[in-house]
Amino acid sequence: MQQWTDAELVSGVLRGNPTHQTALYKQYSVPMFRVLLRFARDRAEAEDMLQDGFIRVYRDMGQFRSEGALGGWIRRIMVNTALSHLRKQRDFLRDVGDFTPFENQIRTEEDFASNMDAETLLKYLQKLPPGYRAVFNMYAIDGFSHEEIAEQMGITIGTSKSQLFKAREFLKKIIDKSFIS
Amino acid sequence: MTEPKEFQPLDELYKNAFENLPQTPATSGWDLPSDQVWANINTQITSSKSGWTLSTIAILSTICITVAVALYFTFRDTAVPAAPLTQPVISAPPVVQEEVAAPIVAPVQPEKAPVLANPKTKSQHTTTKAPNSTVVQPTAPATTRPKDGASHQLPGTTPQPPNSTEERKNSSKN
Repeated sequence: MQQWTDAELVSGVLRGNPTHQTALYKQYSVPMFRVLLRFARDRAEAEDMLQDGFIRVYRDMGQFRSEGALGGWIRRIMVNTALSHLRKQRDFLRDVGDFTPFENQIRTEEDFASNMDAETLLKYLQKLPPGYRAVFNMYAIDGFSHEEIAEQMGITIGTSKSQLFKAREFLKKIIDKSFIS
Repeated sequence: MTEPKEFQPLDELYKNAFENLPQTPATSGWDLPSDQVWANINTQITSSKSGWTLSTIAILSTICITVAVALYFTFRDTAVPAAPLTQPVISAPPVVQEEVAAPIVAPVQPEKAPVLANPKTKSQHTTTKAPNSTVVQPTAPATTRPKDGASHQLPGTTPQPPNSTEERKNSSKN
């Protein structure tokens, strides 16, 4: 597959060149899909987010400034798209006091036999309620601060901190259980 | 002020797992989106490139209807006053003709004057000479042009005596 520079992709997409549009998707769809899988509850939801995100990318390409990397700009669009998807969910920012129902969901032979690769860690992450999952992703993996998370998600800094604390507790419990087993 | 970030081993575990993935998708395909995603995206960007989305069509239709209604009312309003305007134009000339025709009624008979070429009728015409325009004018009071550039006397009014200035002029002439 031919590798294009960011500048070539941007100018090609702005001209509406189908070759560059396809190349942009092929170059960035896999890394962006990995980001979105962390925010989504399953693969289908991640694909919806990816589709909406790329449509925004093609639509707003004229706003891209060449000072930064194209990949970083696309990733920000994807995270924003994921957050707007999550905000539409009724149980967004739901607090979970009892972890039992979620623990039961991963009591399968496949879960316990797996090692700690990205695919397995993703399965655990996708068991989290949307609010926990989004805050944990943004803070632990994407490098956002609590202030930035609060601003982007439309919540208070305190809520962001409490969601992160509960997400970590939830994940620890799941992983400990899988190791003990 | 931004607080320093506190990472826990769990955070590091996830960060390392997801940041150090190879560029190529996994053989299991867990991180490869289905082909349907690109098909949907391609359909969307191709249709948006043509510019004829539903919203565009709706906006254009609204504009066309508004312009059509505006044009209809504009031309309807201008067409209504046009009809009465033509009527006064038609009815006005008879009124003017009546006023002008009155003094001309008398000379109608003399219009038979071209027959004067016949010598037999010439004597009749001399006896009953119809007034023509040159004859009628001296009989009209308005034709008496006042001296010294004075204004014409209006018909039906009594002649006014000369003012003091006129009297002085007359006296000095005498």
